[in-house]
Amino acid sequence: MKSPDYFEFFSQAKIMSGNKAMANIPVELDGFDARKPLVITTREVTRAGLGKKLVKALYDSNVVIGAIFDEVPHHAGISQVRDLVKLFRDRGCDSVIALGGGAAADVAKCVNIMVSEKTDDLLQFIGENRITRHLKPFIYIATAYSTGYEVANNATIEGRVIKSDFLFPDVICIDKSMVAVKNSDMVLEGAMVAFAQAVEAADMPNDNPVVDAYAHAAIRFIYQNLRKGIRSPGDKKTGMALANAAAMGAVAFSNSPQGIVHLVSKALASVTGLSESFCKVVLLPYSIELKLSKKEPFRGDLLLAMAGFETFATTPEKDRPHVALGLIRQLLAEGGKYPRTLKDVKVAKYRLDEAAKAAVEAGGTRVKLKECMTLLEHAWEGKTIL
Amino acid sequence: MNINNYPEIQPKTKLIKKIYVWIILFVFGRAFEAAAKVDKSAKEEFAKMPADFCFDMCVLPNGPHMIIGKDEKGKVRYMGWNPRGKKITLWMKIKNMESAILMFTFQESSCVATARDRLIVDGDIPQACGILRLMNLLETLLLPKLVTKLGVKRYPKWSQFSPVRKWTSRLLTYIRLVA
Amino acid sequence: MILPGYYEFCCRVKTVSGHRALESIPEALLSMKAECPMIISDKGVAGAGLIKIVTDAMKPGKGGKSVTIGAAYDTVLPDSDIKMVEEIATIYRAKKCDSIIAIGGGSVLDTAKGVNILVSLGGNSLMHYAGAGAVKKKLKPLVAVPTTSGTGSEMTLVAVIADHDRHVKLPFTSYFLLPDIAVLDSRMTRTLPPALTASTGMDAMTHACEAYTCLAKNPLSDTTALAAIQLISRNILKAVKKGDDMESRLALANGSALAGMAFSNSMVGMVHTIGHATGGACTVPHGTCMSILLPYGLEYNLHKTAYLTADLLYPLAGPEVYAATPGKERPAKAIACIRKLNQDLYDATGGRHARCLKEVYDRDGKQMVPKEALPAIARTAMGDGSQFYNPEELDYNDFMTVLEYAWEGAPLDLKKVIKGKKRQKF
Repeated sequence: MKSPDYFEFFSQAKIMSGNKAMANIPVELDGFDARKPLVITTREVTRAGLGKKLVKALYDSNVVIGAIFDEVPHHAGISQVRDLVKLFRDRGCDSVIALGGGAAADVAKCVNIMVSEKTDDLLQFIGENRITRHLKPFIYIATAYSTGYEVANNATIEGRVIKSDFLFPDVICIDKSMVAVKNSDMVLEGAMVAFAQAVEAADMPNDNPVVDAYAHAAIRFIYQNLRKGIRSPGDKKTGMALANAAAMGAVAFSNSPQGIVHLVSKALASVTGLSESFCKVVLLPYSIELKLSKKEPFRGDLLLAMAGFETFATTPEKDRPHVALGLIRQLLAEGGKYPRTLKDVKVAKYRLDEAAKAAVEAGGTRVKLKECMTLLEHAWEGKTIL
Repeated sequence: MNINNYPEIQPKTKLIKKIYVWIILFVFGRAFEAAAKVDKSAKEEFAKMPADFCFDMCVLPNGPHMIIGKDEKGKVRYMGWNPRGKKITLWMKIKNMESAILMFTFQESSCVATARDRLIVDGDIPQACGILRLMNLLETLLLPKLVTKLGVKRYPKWSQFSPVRKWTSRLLTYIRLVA
Repeated sequence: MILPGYYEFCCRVKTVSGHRALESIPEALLSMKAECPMIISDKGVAGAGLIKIVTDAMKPGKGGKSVTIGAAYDTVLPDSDIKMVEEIATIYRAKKCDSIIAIGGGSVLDTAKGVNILVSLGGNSLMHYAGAGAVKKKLKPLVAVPTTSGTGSEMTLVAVIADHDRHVKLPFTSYFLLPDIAVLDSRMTRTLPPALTASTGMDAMTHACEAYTCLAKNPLSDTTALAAIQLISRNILKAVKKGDDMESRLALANGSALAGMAFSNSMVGMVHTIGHATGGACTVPHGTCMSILLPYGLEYNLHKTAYLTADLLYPLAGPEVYAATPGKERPAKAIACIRKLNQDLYDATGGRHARCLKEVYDRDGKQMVPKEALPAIARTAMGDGSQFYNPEELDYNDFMTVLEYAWEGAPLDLKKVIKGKKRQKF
């Protein structure tokens, strides 16, 4: 690792992870002088009984739950946010808890912006760094329905993005009783999103030792636990490791510029209607090949993070990226029936062009059209770039 | 949106857990008092504490409490479960009931609990160190070796803690505890 | 990688690091709606001309707005004191400042944290806010500019301020005490003399090594600690030998900050227990104690944490050495690497970097730790909280054993360590 000439890093979040982590929420709230949170979540979470678990965890404390709102739809709108702002104010709440699920976190963040900035106009904050002050205490509780985007420093509402360092949760709570995922496809998708985020963050040309630290921990956990997670979904230990990885990956991702995988996946998702996570999983290995094919200096650290000191130290330096790529492919192969090319999910080839253009538009100078096309075409066909 | 669908939720009490912790703390408090009278190293440890020493171990935010202090004659006393009116010099607060249960059902030993940040210590640190050492000692005295071994980092060797002393202290502590 | 049954990790300090990182302060302050910062610093920093570098960096920010220094207090004493804090707070209020820039080491930052409590929450007495978690509100913007690469105090949420009238040290802990920004700039450590560079660097190294091997370790403290060790071990000798090598200066500052992140979340073990005690009983500088005691701490815990100590070999010596060393020998090799580093630093500083406790001399050439002082050190160590994060138990006799070996400078006789059970639960 060489030392960078310049870097910045920020993460507001305190990670509390482990057995009975939720029981510590009252102490954390008290540290902020807050005692009445508004809980925002989705129906699937409460239906799985996770809402009740939260209520029970807050027994024997001075924390009164202002309300548990569990009707956040998949694509929430500003009207929902307004309703919740009203609920927040009516009940005299002083903090926000988001319980699992991407949509719940987005809505919770928006509610927090409006109640903290004391305004009814959310649109003025769309864009980067428009928020002017510290928001109310915001706790995010990871559940089996988390996608890994929730703890990042942005919120998406009606397709528009608000980005600000104030949007980091103050506390990320990963409780052992909340994270066990029942379905192995969900395990794979969730883990691979975190993996893609971490790999991209760790592999930026400008070194950032703190981002690397977060990313490496994420990569290692995923590599060590994904196989078991797919084989026996519902296992609490692997569930915890993967949930931790998701949080770390998202923090690393928030602190690094968006890479080609992120930009292209986002564009592809909006063009084709596939899920962004799925696109990331498919594109990740090809993006590494693309990098190798350009003979760009590739950071061997990826192998170190995945395979550990022993393998890394005994692999000759020039082979390290290829070995790492091999390991990633092997890992993806464990996904079994999970589709691995864009062709498999019946993406029409002519849409690739559209997606590539959208990615370039969003990414500006960071990506080139030709590279996006190479990436997409190979991922469609499923043939290696090298 | 009908806000009546989303009522306010007041925290309830986990009564059984609370009673369990209360009992453990009661026994523990009396054991402190007993051990301070009969065991050599407990005596030494307490001798180092100042005259106004008063220690409160509690579960946040609403108890139960265990208060141990020195009386006017400098004797170590278990002073009950009500912190009101007492001048506490050292707090050891367990962050919540669940953590207390983990600790007092021996799922997490005191050193693991410390490492996991389950306790908040407020007060003089050297005194708190003394208390933690005393807690390890009490564990050795009160519980069978098999159980204690799980909790402490190092079970005292013969050279440090002879079986004769262990058993005399253990017996005397138990007698005082019950009587 | 070990995922402990429960852990917490929090690093709310924004880190900005670079050769010209100071230039980012005005913009950062303005974004927090502050434009009139007060500088708090000590004589050493002022004497080295470091305050001037910071004030020179306060050029007008974007949009024509600019930051003006409201006041500067540059005589913070080595031991933060409650009266001094109140005095500074009065100046702050009189000059109508709205933020604080702390330039210096641990005591400057502790003082600045204290001042920040007073000026943000009001009142004239700090006493009210002492203890764990008494501060529950966002304080004024605080920018930390460390001038030694070692303490890592820019990453910690604790401030210890002495009340000399009542002879007590008041601890303050709250996440709100954390600085908003830590600015690591290579210019700030360029003039640090070689011996100090060596001892503060080894201080940071100790933070990282203990963070990796002690009980409250967690995945993020692990990765930050490993990165820190790598940066420090590769750059410390260069920075000692050639003070104005800016690359290694910055790398060392980064390493120290990373180590700070690691240890403020995972706590530290017996090296700090004994180190604090030695510092307290014999006024030996903290960094010196750390560099001497680090190998002993690792050796003492070897029967429990050899598998973790083995990992340290990789960042200490690099992949080639790691691969060439058989698995069983790695822990010993890692400890040997640290001893060798101490020896190299001893040579590079012309013998001013002490290798064992008997070699520590003060300015007048007087031995600072006479052998008779060891029992007093061991007794003080019994009252230090960090021992509870150490993998193996320590009592008075254990402290004495370790101290005697560290005094002589001989490797610890592992047969003399009283061993508890093999593996520790995390």
